[in-house]
Order: sequence, then C-alpha cells, then structure tokens
Amino acid sequence: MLFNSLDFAVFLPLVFALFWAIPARRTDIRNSLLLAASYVFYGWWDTRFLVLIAFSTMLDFYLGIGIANSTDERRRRLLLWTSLVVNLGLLGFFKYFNFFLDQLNGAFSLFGMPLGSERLDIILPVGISFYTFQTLSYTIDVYRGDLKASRNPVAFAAFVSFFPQLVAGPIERASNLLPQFAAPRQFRRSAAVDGSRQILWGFFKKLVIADNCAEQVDRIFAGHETAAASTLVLGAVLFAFQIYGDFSGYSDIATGVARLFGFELMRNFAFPYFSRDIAEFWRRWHISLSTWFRDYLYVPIGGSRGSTALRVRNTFIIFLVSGFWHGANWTFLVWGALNALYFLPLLLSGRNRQNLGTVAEGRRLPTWGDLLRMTGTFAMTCIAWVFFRARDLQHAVEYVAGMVDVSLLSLPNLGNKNLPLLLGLFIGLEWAGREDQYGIQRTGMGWNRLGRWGFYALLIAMIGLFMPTEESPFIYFQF
Amino acid sequence: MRSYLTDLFLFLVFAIPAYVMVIVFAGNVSPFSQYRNIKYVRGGNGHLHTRLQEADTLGQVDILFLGSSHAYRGFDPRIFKKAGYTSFNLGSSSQTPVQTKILFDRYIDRFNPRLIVFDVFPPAFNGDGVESFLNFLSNAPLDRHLMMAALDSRHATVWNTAIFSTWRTLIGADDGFTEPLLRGAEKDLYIPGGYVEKTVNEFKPPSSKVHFKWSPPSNQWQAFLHILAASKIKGIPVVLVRTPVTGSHQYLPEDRMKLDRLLSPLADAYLDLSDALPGDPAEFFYDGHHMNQKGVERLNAIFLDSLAARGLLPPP
Repeated sequence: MLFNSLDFAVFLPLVFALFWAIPARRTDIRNSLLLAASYVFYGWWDTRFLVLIAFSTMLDFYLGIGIANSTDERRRRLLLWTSLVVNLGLLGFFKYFNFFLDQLNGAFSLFGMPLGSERLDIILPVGISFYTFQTLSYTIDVYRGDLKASRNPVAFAAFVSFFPQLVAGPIERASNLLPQFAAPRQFRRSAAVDGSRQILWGFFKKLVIADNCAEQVDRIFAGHETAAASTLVLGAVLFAFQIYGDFSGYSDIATGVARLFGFELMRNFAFPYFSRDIAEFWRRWHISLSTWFRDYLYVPIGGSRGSTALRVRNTFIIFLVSGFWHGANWTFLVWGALNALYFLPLLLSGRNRQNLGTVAEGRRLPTWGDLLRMTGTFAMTCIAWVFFRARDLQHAVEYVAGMVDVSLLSLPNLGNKNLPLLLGLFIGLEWAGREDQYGIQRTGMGWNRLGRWGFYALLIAMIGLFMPTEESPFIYFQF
Repeated sequence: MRSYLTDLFLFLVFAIPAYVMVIVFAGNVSPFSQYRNIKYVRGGNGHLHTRLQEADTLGQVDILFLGSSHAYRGFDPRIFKKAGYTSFNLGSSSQTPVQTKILFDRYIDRFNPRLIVFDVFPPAFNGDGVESFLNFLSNAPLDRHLMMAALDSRHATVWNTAIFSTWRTLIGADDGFTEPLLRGAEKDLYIPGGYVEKTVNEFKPPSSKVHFKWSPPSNQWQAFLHILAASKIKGIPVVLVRTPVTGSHQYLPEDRMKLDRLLSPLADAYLDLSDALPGDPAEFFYDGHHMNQKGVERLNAIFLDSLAARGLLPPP
C-alpha cells in the first residue's frame, strides 16, 4: 500500500481509531493489531511477500532466543552466522541473483565459453533490504550482549513489520524500537500534532517537489544525447531534489505516522544539502543506513583505526557496500566509489569531523564561505547522483561528458515553469527550519492559530494543485 | 485524544473552504496551464458547449447518437435528414460511458428517440474518463449528476476543475460566452444536430499500430449497462456500432470475434463496421481512426442500408 493512495487514506484512520480504542494496559492486543495492520499493509502489494517476512521474523526470533540462552560461544556464533547467511542469502537471491548470473555469463563469454544460463524471473519483494537489515541488527545486538532477546513473538513480529517504516525505513535498531512495543503507550497530543505536521511536510516533499522534479528528470535523462549541457546540469540538480524529496518525504511520513501511534523512530535525514563537506553530508543523509554500516561493518573491520592504507580500504569498503546495497547495478558501485573518493581527502587530512553543528547556527543567513562550501558539496553530490540515476554506466558517462560543453552557457530547457517557484519555496522553508527535526516543525509557531492553519491549508492546496494524478511509488521501494 | 480530534476536525472545517479559495484564486490569477491540476477550457475541442446549448432547444428526434468523437464526427444528421429521419448527436471528445450516462439521463425524455445508436470504441470504454470530465466541467451545465460522477472519479484535476467551474458558474463568469462554429486550428465546423465536420482534407498517418484491449473499469461497464437497461425499459431499440478505422487501428479477427460475442447479446444489433472503408486511408480518413467528410458520407450510406436490411429503421 502506498502512503500516497486513497487506500492508505482509509487504512490509517481506521487503524488509528482501533489502536487507541484498545485499553492502554492491553499492550498485547495493541501489538496484535499493529501486526495485523502491518501485514495487511505489506500484503497489499503481493500476499506472497508475507511468507518471506514471516519466515525471516520467526527465524530471527528463535535464533535470538537461542543465542541468548547459550553460553557456548561456538554455538552462539553458529546461530549468529545462521541468521547472517539466511537473511543475506535471501536478500542476495532476490536482489542480486540475476546480476551475478549476468556477470558470470559475461566472464565466461570472454573466454568463448558462454554458460547459456537464463535469467530467473524474480520479483524483488518490496522493502526486503530494509527489514533484512533491521532483523540483522537484532541478532547481532543480542549476540554482542547489547540487547536482551525478545520472548514475545507478537511484539517481535510487530517490530520487524511495523508498517510506517517497513518498506523504506528508517532502518530501526531493535534497541530503540523493540522496547517501545513492550511498554504501554499513552496518547500524547503534542506528539500527535507534531506527527501530523511532519506527515503533511512529507507529502509536500514527495508529491510537490519530488514528483514534479521527476517528470523533468525522466525527460532529460531519456534525451541526454540531444540536450544542451545546461539542461543536463539542470537534470542532475533536479534529480538531487527528486531523490531527497522522495526519500526524506517518505521518512517524514513514516516518522509522523509512527508518532500518531506513540512510537518514536530514529531520524533519517537532517537537511543534507546544507552540508559544508561530504563527511557532513553523510552524517545527514539516510542516517539510519549510514549508522548501520558504521556500527555493523565499518567499526568491526577497523574503522578509522590503523594505518592509512587500512583506513582507505575501510572507507572504500563501506561506500562500495553501501552503493551495492542500493541495487544490483555497476552504477550504484560507481556512485559509492565516487563518494569514497570525495570522502578520502577529508579523512586523510583529519578534517572529516570539522562540521558537526548546523550551518549558520543562530543566524539567518550563511557566510559567503559557508555558501561556497555548501554549493561545492551539493555540486559533488549532483555528479554522483548522475551515476545513481543512470540506467547503466555508459548512460552515466555520456551524461556527465555532455555536461561539459559550451552549451553550458545556454538557457536550460526547464520544461515546467512552476519548478523554480516551488523549489525556491521548498529551500526557503527547509533553510528556515534547518535547526529543527524537519522543515516546518516550528514554522508559524509564533503566529496565531488562523495564520498557522492558513499556512497548513496552503500547503495542502499546493499538494492538490501540483501533485501527479497517477499514484507514483517512492524511489526507495526498489531497494 | 479528544482535544486532538477536536482540533483535527476544526482544522478540516477550516481547510476545506481555504482549499476552495486557493483553487479559485489560483485559477483566476494565472494561465490555467501553469497549474497542472486545473484544466478549465471553455469552448474546448468538439463543440460540446454549442451541442448542449442546441440540445436544450430541441424536442423529439427519430435517432439519437451516443458515444465518443466517433459518434459526433461519424454520423451526419444532414444525411439522415435526406433519408427522412430527424437525429441528434450527443457524442463528445473522449466521452466514456460514464459521461454518456449523464447525457442520456439528462436528455432521453426530451429527445424520446425511436432508435439509439451507441458508438462502442474500445479505448473509450477502457479509459478513466478524466479528459471527458474536464470537457464536461468546462462546457456542460453543472448539475448534481455531473458533480457526483466527478467526485467519484477520485482525480485531483477533475475535483479542482469542478471547484473552479462551480465558482465561475456561481459568479456568471461565462454567461456571455459564445463558441465559434468554425474552430481555427482544427478547422472543425459545427453542424446543427450535434455533428462536427472536418473542413480540411489532410491525412495524418498514425505513428504506430494499435493493439486490442478490452478491460473496462466497473464504473464504465455499469454505466453502459444502465443505458442499455433504461433504453429497454423505455422500449427504445439500441444499435451498437463500431465505426470505420484505418488498418493501423483494426484488431485481429479473433479479437473482433470476442467483442462480437460480448456485445451482440446486449443490444438489438451490434454492427462492426471497423473495416467498412478499405483501401487508401487518405481517401476516407483524416487520421488513424476519424473519417473525413467523404468517409462519413460513405459510412452513413452503408449504415442506413445495414439498419434497413435488419429491419431496425423506424418508419420515416
């Protein structure tokens, strides 16, 4: 079920009403309801997906108990490896099988021995990368002793399948979300109001910003051979806004919906395009995935400790794996490698943690230096985004090469004349709210109710005026 | 919880009129094309405004034509007049059964026809009807049936255009509007009786072949069945017809058989004339599936002969 569908507009109020109608002390019934609702939400795409998520859930539930109950280190390690192999095996099969088959076929063909193996017709279950990482974090944390194993299968299953964040994150840590399923929840008006506001902002980002950019991005990327360099640059910039609006919009809706039910999810985005260097960007972009890789991959392989060569190796590993997590295509690997290259100079010079605060904190405008650094960082990410968006490496290389041309001085073909106005408004609101959790968290807080509600109504009207009329899935569903 | 729900309710009470105000404001201050979800075009393609103005002045006719552009560009009342029959054409551009039902319910008693000819163009049945809704909301009188059907479309552009159109109707913004009978770029001439004649004879070949598809949404199918059932109750015979198309728009024989099997039992006759004008398409068509005047004259003669052969023509 898509957030931006009429089905969800009926589903959410219904589940909300049922949930809070259950007495607070009956946490078990509330969890059962959330579990049932989450399976309905997920099964709306394809009921076959439910078998897979149910299997992963049960497997990790019992493996977690097995790990916690055992004092034999070999057995504990065996159980952990079972979880890793099965979960990553399933992910690998559904997401990467055909990719590796193609590479193998290509390699053997080079030596005149084509394998002749045919691709399998595999449907990628929506959100598999997200819930796989979520359950993995659980078994790893239990193995490390950082978390007690859950003994409540309903609460655990509800944690794995929690519908607001099931299909595109944030990738929750069991240590943050699982205990919330065990505790009785009281309705908090302030959280619900804030959640509602965040949902509105998420829909604005997705339906007004991302989807309007998407039309032009699709047009420009499809016709890159004949487009002027300035139009290609515009296409890359618009894709940067598309993917940010799409993904962070989803995270905002997910976080807001969770808050309606009394849950607090981890923050996933922190105004990444206001970053002054690429290290800051990665502390602000898809935070739940970046920190997952940091805690479960980067630190275990040595992190920033050790020799320069090791630190370079570790940096490349984490960025390449992060790229590959996004999809079975060389373009994602190059995207990861490019970001590693951007990151290395900062790491090697020890300047990767120099911008830890918010840009222009306490001030209305940035300094010229900050503006320059933000623009430079944004430009670098835009070039990397071309690889992320392109259908294959040749497409990406041609696109980037096309951006360097005298036609860069010509006026770009904008396509949609509303976009500068919409993007200007969006950037302005995000900049004003950059010290908060999301763009409009405190917008209008000093105004009277009429003014504040008028502002929210205006956002709703803009959604009604500019949204696409066909349901458009979120980009990150494919990952 | 109570205060949250109360505030939410009050906000909705506030937001709905605020939304309407923004739509009205947005529709008035800037060219409509800038807002992707308001499409109000008074006097749009197909002369619907003029057709309905004329329909409101007429009385009983012998033959009533219903359907998409294939109806209003395919059956010329002048030819039927010569054969001794009065007729009116209620077709409009991209009209789907949902909009046809609105017109049928509104005009059936006024026209009280002796025969209904319903153009069954599969793409019109498969569609969501949005294009036609926008045409209706811009050019047809607003009534409860149209507004309820528009609401049921679940389409933001249709809803916004309905709001904007209601506003313009309330303030009488288009009261003095007169649609030109000859439309410039398309060279379409409105002929009394609801017909539109293409006055130039240029053929635009279709770019690709069209494949058969028949999957009407349930609301379209229900609207179609409603028209057939209501006609039967009123004792009006119905002829379903597929008008001629060029080779690129013709379906395979097995697909035509499927349609034949499906549609024949539903009406008094089903005439598949999709291949009735073979040969050089430029002679009878101006695009892949619309006839020029020569094609219309030929089709109408064939059609009258077919009806006569089946005994479906009412006595003149």
